[in-house]
Amino acid sequence: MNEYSGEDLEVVFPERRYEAIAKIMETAVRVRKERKWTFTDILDHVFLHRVLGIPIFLALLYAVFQFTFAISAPFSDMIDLSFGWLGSLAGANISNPMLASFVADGVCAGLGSVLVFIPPIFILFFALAILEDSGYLARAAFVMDRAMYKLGLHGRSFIPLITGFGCNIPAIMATRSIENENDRIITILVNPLMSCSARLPVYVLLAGVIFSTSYVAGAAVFSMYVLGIALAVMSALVFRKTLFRGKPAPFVLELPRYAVPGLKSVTLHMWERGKWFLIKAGTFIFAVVIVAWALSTFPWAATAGGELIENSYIAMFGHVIEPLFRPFGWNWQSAVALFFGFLAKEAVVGTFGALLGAEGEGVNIALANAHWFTPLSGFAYMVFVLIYFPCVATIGVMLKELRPRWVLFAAMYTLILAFVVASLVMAIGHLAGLA
Amino acid sequence: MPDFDTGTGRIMAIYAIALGIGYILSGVIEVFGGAGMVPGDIFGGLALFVIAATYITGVPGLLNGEHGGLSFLMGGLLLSAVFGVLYILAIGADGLEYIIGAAETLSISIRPEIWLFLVSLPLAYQVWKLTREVTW
Amino acid sequence: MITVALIGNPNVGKTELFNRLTGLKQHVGNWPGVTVEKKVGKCQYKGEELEIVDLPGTYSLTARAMDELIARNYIVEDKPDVVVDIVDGTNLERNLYLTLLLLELEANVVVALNQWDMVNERGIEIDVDKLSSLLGVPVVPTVATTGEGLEALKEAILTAARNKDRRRKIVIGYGDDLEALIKRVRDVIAKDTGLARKYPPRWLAIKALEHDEEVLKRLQDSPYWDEIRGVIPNK
Repeated sequence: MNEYSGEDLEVVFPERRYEAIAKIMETAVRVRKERKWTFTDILDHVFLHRVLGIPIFLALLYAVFQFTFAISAPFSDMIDLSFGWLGSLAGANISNPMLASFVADGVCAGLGSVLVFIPPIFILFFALAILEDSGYLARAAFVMDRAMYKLGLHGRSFIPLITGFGCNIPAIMATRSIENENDRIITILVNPLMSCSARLPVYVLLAGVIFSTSYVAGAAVFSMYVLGIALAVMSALVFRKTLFRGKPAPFVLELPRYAVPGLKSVTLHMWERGKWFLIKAGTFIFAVVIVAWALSTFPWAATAGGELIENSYIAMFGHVIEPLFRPFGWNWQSAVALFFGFLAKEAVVGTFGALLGAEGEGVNIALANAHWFTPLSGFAYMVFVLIYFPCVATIGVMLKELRPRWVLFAAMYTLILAFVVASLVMAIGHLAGLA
Repeated sequence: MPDFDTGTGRIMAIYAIALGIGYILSGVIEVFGGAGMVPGDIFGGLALFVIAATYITGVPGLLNGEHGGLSFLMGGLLLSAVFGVLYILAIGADGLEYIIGAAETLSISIRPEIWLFLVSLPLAYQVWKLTREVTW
Repeated sequence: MITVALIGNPNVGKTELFNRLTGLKQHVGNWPGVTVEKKVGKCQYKGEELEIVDLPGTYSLTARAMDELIARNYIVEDKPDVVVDIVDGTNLERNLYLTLLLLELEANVVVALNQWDMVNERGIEIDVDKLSSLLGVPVVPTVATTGEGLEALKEAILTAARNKDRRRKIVIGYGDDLEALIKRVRDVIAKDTGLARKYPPRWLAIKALEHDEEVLKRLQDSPYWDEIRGVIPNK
């Protein structure tokens, strides 16, 4: 009776279950000999190809961002036109100057500059939902995982990482499917480097300002996403070699069948993810933008009702932190925007709106006319926004998933990495004579 | 025993090579700054190389009448469609910009991805005929 | 109201089936204590209201992974009226593992044999009646993507909910040697009537023998813990 030790039992029970299943299969299931060649076989042969797999993934990713860029423009313009109309209506009809400034420069400018990004964000989610529902995204994760596994990284990490393109928060939660604790910590730590949709508005704004051709701007945005993937893989590799030595657990990944994505399900997916942006814009970002407006218009007398921002609280604060960013050629306004970006990355754009007193696409024009950025310093700014600090909501989720010291580590290493990579961009740019 | 008629396979292989060359030429022009109707677009050009590579990888399989060759052809055709439809939709978006008055001039760029997609359609029809019986 | 939990391996069409059953009447919240998304939806069938809870997709029900623990705790603690186990008919062998674990939990299981359209196309023949009688639970072929078999599934859920208290006759055995071991542990556990009323004693016994951390923790609070420990082989 006692021939089994506890150790054995942990293995014996699953074994017996499989034996029982085998018996059931034997009696209830019959497989006809000839195995048919399916579309899934056909497509996997090319999409999971050892050499072509990753290039095809990158090409499709590029198509996704070109699609997002090209299709969203007219819709953003429509939102922009209505916000401009609303802002001028408010400015003309409110007699109290402080209230008028609050509505026109605070609410309309700050919030409007964020809301014009509803179309690109929803269109990006739409495209990603098509890739997901068609079954392709799982393949993309597979080819990346296969490559990462060879580098000594855990497979199965890439699905959480790809989810990070939407938002890092569900992506970090998705790491729970990783059983090995070290693999899971690594995947969480590098997740903020995956460029989430909150960063998209910053890229779109900056790329539009510093690059005049839309194809070049699209390529610049795409390069942020690729850079994010590359940095995530490299950081994970460094962590694996230094902090968490050892071999990753082997991985098995089941791939779903391919299917023609249904419009209803794609739209539902898009809405489920996109609505968070709307909620966030209506609550959190709105609050941040109001704070930015208040800090830029007070003391009311000294700034002459927000006309002389140089005399405002925000300028005082901006001048304090500006020296940190001077090597990159960013002025105090851009530094302040980065500061508010700690809270939510969209707030960078909202802060620009409040500081420039412009709304919607007007921010684009005002920023271009202000000549705050050269193509090189603007690109470095995009890189910095990509890397520095996970937003506070992400930090909150990390605190639930990791011990506090790892969260602190994530905050620190991303900040340092941002300075390093942005400096590299500046240095390479100078060497290439792009300054 | 080939999976499909090698005569058809040879025709499809020639077609795939022609498309591959088309993508390579367009890609070269895009990577090196563009010319005429072809804009300069480094990543876009690299994407075209990927499509070309996909088509050409399938050629030996097609010549032997193997399913594997059909795979690359289908992958290439799907990529052709993705990029073709993408830039056709972009034309529509540009038109919409003009209509709502956000753009002053109507600029229509018929990028090579669009006509290469159109050229690929007869091949897609041929592949569809061969795989009509295939299920998901 | 009938509470129904949906469970299944990842990528078997669980989300599609959930959307099909509930339409847009969904409510998204969090599982207690953790930030894993919990989706709950409602649907009406023959005048009965079904509350449908989407459990995380898992391959197993160990205490090791968070997703699995959430799903398992929901089934043992909240005791839904019916547990619909969605299995991929084209990958039955792997999917049945979870089914067996659910039967072990003595959940009121209805098996949705999904991707039924693919099963025949792949040249697989499944004898649904035989499968049902071997497992001792209803088996309904479904196609989540088209909605085929959905009415039959709802009917099976309703019937299963009504016959909830009828005991299942089939128990999947672990072989004589293990069964003797299980029985010994089970008999000791059954002495703790409070515990035995709350959880299936056979399941507790199997899990204790598998050294499941969560179950062992629970058994430690039992007045019979010393006796229970005596009959479990050490690690």
